[in-house]
Amino acid sequence: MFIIPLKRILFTYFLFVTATGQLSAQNNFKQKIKNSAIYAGIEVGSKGVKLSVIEVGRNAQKNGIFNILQDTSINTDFINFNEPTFNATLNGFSTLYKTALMDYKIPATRIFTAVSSGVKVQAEKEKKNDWITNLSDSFRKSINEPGRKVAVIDVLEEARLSHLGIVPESRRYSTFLIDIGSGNTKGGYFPNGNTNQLRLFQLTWGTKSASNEAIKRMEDDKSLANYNKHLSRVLAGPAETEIVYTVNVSGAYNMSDNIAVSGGISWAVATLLYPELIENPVVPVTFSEVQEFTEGIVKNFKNYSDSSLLKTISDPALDKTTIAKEIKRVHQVFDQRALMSGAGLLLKIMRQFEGIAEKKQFFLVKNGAVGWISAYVNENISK
Amino acid sequence: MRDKKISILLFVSFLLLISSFLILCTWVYNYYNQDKIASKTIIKVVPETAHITRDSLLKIYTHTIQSMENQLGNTYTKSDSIESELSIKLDEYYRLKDEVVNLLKSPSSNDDFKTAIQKVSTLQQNLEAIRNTSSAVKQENLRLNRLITELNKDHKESVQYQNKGESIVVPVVNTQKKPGVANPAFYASDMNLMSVKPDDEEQDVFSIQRQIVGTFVLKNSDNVYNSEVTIIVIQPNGRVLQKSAWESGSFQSNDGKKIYSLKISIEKNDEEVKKISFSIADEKFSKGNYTMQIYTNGKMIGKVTKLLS
Repeated sequence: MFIIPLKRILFTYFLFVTATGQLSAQNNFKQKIKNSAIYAGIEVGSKGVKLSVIEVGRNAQKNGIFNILQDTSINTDFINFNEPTFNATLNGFSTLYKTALMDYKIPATRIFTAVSSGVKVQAEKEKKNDWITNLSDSFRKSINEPGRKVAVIDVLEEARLSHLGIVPESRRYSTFLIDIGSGNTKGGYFPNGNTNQLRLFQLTWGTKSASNEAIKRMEDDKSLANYNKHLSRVLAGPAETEIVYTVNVSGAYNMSDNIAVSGGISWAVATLLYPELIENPVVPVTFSEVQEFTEGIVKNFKNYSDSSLLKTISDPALDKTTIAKEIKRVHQVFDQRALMSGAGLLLKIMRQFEGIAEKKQFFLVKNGAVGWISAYVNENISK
Repeated sequence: MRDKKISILLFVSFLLLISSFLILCTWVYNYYNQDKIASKTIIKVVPETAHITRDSLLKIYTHTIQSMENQLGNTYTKSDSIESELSIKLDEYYRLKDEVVNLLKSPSSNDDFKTAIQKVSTLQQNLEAIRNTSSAVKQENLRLNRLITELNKDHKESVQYQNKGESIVVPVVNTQKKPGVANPAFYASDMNLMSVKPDDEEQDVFSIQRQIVGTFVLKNSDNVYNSEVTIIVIQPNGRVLQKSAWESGSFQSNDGKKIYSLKISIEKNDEEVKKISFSIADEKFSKGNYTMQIYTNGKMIGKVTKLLS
């Protein structure tokens, strides 16, 4: 159907081998829940395909308790909607499915597959819905399961599932979850004490879009100082106006005690602020800490290098090699300007919840990406 | 002519005699009157002496007030002796009051009477104020004495535990001042760690080997503002046992950044002495020494190490 360049085939083969190798090496799961069953959820997202392996207790529908055992992803950039990315996505999708089925011995009935809202929104915007249909059909053919359901999730449902997958039950009705993406920000909370009704929160600003707007205004002066000046203007201008309005309309301030922020920038800030908490999927922070960090990455960016941060860790029980690797990974994904943009946006959002009299507890969620697919699996088990 | 001269001499002699008699009478009269004046002077001495006595009373009264005010000023530094001194002063007060009352039974004017009443009333008010201050200081003394007793007790216990090789208790009083608020003083005592089997409900859901239960008594002499107690439980392998990702984190202590197991909020209306307990699920329980460290405002206020099996 498509002419696939040799480079792309080799790349996909490499991803296949890598992913399979990783998963095979880690199929001995350490389960926390007694008498639990293992399920898998595979999600096609904007950037790639993700596999989440979860364990669910025998009373899953009653108490909603599940535990994420493992998550793996393959970057394929499906929303570019071209032949190479289509094939890479299809291969990644099939590979992860077969891995779950054959390597993890998870029965097909316990493997759930879905397409995320980011793909759906972008496809609708570019009128390329047929690419999603083609991908689903090709996937069914590839795995030889004509009746395989590939659900396409909308924004509201994904936000609802993310909340269920990330926020623990004990904080379910007191937590406002915000996911800062590259192009937009979305989230919500449950205002009525039930998980069927989510008050959706959406912003048209994300880490990349705020940065792009600042770069657009820079003209000939490409210096960091000029970027910082224009980024500050973007964040204090149109971005803040929208944030203030949207937060007020959401009514989240009065209804929430906890503000949990997920997304790539949350992972980056949490890792650089608290490298010692490398194993924690969630990190509590204060507004002043993020404010200090935002100023620090502009004025003293070197202080956030792996070598500088490791000097602040004195606990001998911590694995400094792993921490250094994770810090380097953050710097590979986010350069200084991307960090400035994302942290600035994060701070503007947090500012709306930083009251003088009433203090909210802020959390940075590192593994938010696996949240919604895990909750999707959990909800669909007994259906 | 000669007869005339004799008669003149007789007349002069007669006048002299009469004058002498008059002088004698006058002397006698004066002598008599002097005795009378003297007796009158003695009678007058009585009110003069009373006046002097009242002045001296006033001096004593003023002196008493001043000494009591001085005493009040020194209350906090000499709080131990205030109780006995206060009772002396009270006796003095009542004695003075009686004297003033007796004195006022024979007032020389109504103004003196009113002034005396005012002074006695003022004296009573001052004494009442001293009583209140004394009571507060006495309570503070009692609290400090209790604290010292418990410190000594904990110290003895820690030495005993240390000798047995079971646990080490290091209580530390935190008097670090928080900016803009009164000087807080936190103190942790009666610290204990134990491992228990999880309850049936939790055991039914999770594969938890043990629950690590920690208890301690927190004394907060400053109940003016809200605060937090940060607790660290260190496992035998040196790693911090975390309650959950949402409840654990990292904080800046006086000894550098540390990972904490959990935080507990102390409300401003909480009791001065509060018993705190917590439990943490330990999925990978291993026998050995578990250490609990308790921090407030970045400073360690207590530490216990216990062998759990």
